[in-house]
Formats: sequence, C-alpha cells, structure tokens
Amino acid sequence: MGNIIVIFQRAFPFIFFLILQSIASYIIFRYNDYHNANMVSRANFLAASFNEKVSDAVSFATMPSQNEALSNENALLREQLYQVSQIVNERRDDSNTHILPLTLPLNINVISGKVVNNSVAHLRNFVIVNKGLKDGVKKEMAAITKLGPVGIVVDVTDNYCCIMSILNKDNNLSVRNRATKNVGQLRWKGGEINIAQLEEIPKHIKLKKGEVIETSGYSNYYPQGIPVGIVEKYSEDSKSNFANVKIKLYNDFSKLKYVYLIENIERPEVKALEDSIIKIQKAEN
Amino acid sequence: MHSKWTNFFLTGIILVLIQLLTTNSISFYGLFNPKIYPIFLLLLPRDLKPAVFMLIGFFYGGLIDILSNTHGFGIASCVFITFIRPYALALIYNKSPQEESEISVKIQGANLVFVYLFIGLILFHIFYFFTELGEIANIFYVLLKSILSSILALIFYSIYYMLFHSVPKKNR
Repeated sequence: MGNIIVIFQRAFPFIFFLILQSIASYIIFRYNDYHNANMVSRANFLAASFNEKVSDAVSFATMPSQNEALSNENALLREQLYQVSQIVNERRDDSNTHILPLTLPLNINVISGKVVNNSVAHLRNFVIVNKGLKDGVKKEMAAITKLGPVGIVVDVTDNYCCIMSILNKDNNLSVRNRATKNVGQLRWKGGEINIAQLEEIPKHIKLKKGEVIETSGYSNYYPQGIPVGIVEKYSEDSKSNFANVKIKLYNDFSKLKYVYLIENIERPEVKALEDSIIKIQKAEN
Repeated sequence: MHSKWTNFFLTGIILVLIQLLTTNSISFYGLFNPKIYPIFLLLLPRDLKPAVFMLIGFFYGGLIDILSNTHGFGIASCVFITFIRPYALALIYNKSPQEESEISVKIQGANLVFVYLFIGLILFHIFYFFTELGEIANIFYVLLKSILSSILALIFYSIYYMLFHSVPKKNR
C-alpha cells in the first residue's frame, strides 16, 4: 500500500501535467477550426481502417458459412443459366430467327463490396462499404444482397461509401405485391430489425400472410422485381383508409457481409424528366 | 520574501506587456516570431512544488491566450515548459533546489543563466510552433524558426534586463 502511494507521489507531477495538457488540447481543438478539422479527419480515417481490420478478422472467422452461401448462390445462378440457355437453344432450333429478348437489365452497373461497419441499433442506421469513388461508386447508387435491397448510397469518399440502410427512419422504398402488382411504400420505424411497415395500401386490397413483396422499380434506384420480404401481418385500421401491413424482410441486417452496389445508368434521364414535371407543376400552381 | 514575490509579479506583467506591445507584431519573413513571456516561468524559484508551478504556468498561458487571441497554444506551451524545466535545468546545473532556489544573474552568473534561458526558450518555441502547426511537418523550418525566435527573444530580454536591473559592476 505504501509503495503505491510513493509511486503515485512520484508520478503526480506527470499526471498533473497530462491533466493540464488535456485541458489545453480541449481548448485548442474547440476554438481552432484547422486543428478541429484535422483531428476529425484523422480520427475518421483511424476508425475506418480499424473497422476494416476488425471486419477482416470476422470475415475470416465466418469464412465457412460465407463459402457455403456463395456456393449456394453459384448453384442457383448455374441453374438459371442452364434454364436460359435452354430457352435460347429452343428458340434457335426454331425456324424463326428471332431470339427471345431476354430481359437482362443491360442498363445496370454492378460493383461488389464488403461491409466494414454496420449498425442496426439506432433509428437511423447506416452501412459503410469498402468501395468508393476510386471504384466507381456514386451517390444514389442502390445496394442489394441476394436476399433483397439494403439501402441507398448517401455519401462517398475515395475508398468508402456510406449507405442509408432500409433500417433508417428516413428511408422510403417503393414496393409491390409480386402476384397482384399493387404498389405501396416500405418504411421502417424502429423496433424489430426484420419487420418493416408497408404503407399506402388501400383497405380494399387484401394481402395474405406469406405473399411475396418485391421492389416496384418506380423509384429507379432499384430494378424491378428484387424480392424484399413476405407479408407477416395484415390488419385494418379503423381510423384511416389504409391497411396496416407488416413485412418480414428476407435480409438479416445484423449479418450483412457483402453487398452489390448497382447503378441504373438511365436514372439521371428519368430524374431529369421527373424534375421537369415538378417544375411545370410548380409553375402552374 | 514579500519584495521577492512582488518582483516576480512585476517581471511577469512587464514581460506580458512587452510580448503584447512589441514582439507579437514581429513576423520577419515568417521566421522570427519571438515569445518572450516564458522567461517569467523559467526564472521562477526552483523550490516551488511542481503542481503549483504547473498551475502558475496554466493561468499565465491562459492570460496570454486571452490577451493575444491564441486559443490554447499559450496554455499548452506554458504547461509544457513548466513540466520540462527541472530536466532542462539539470542539463547544465547540478545544485539542488534546496541549495539555491533562485535563478538570477547575480547568483549563477550571466553565462549560465542565459544558456539556460536559451535552452528553455528553444524548447518552448519548438513546442509552440508544432502545436500551432497542428501536425509534425516542415521539421527543419520549424527548428530554424524556433532557434531564430529564441535568439531574438533573448536579445529582447537582455535589453530589458540592462534597462531595469542593476548590472553587477566588476571593478569594485
């Protein structure tokens, strides 16, 4: 005990020095814009590279299950390829030289990226992916996994991009019923991370539990027909004209590892048209 | 005892005034930017407790920061110099604080005091300029600037010393 006190007494000037120096540092970073910006950018860089190291380690540890998932996906793709080539061959065999126009979305760019940071605990969740401007990522690109949409790129740096997750209060996704094509808006309002609300579905449209919901393609971020989830619960609200629908998402956001960033090349064109319509409407009002 | 502390207090005030009124406005090719006020801290008696000494440095630096709009640089550098002072002094001087508490030209002689002040000032300027820069870069430029500024600060202090202190006369 006595030793500890002696050590403390010896180290006291140094500790006191550190305390005063940290007060001074606080004042310096608080009142000097350059120092503040410098520190923030360095801290961000450190945090991002640290997160990447951690996620490297985690992805190494979870490699077997990742491999399995990849091979499953591979199998599925092979199956589809086989079916498609069968159709093509059938058509070729026909005397008709017209090949069936396969609806491959040729106007779409795909970049695959690894998730380095991901949150699900907040009301506004974001996903950080290790692809940035250098890899051709742009703002407003959409992120998907094989299980469904993940979110929209809201910010890009040279090496990283930030995705506003579906699990974000501010995110809005245009979806439709796969069978009936009725369109609604998918929103997440906090709470369970695999349940989202489907809004703007009129009461007269009845949805059954288990019906598949997919993207409508109206927003032009996502292509049509990406599965999002299934109807979990359908109930009617006596106070409004719309139904309360809960959607169980296919994606498990707590386990995101890889995402595909996709860009609809024709989106700027569509957006320009939409903007011009909005302008005309405003002018009329 | 009383007059000794009054003396230190006055020296501090005068050095702050010199700093604010003259040396703060010197910036010759960006190389000379002398800080004369740390001399007050360097000349305080040696038998002060380290914590008290650092607190004096803290508030003194704060005073300079408030008066010359350097947010926090003064505090950081003054606390640094109060912490590093015993080690700097030990480099050139081996008497314990109990033997000789005061540092003045009359006791240790002009050579030793000015070498000590020079070392202290260089350390102070290096720390100050790197803090101001916000990163470890342009090392040679900062070192050159520190040395030149320290020399200029020392010249200013010598002028002040000759004006306000009685220089011991040799031929008596």
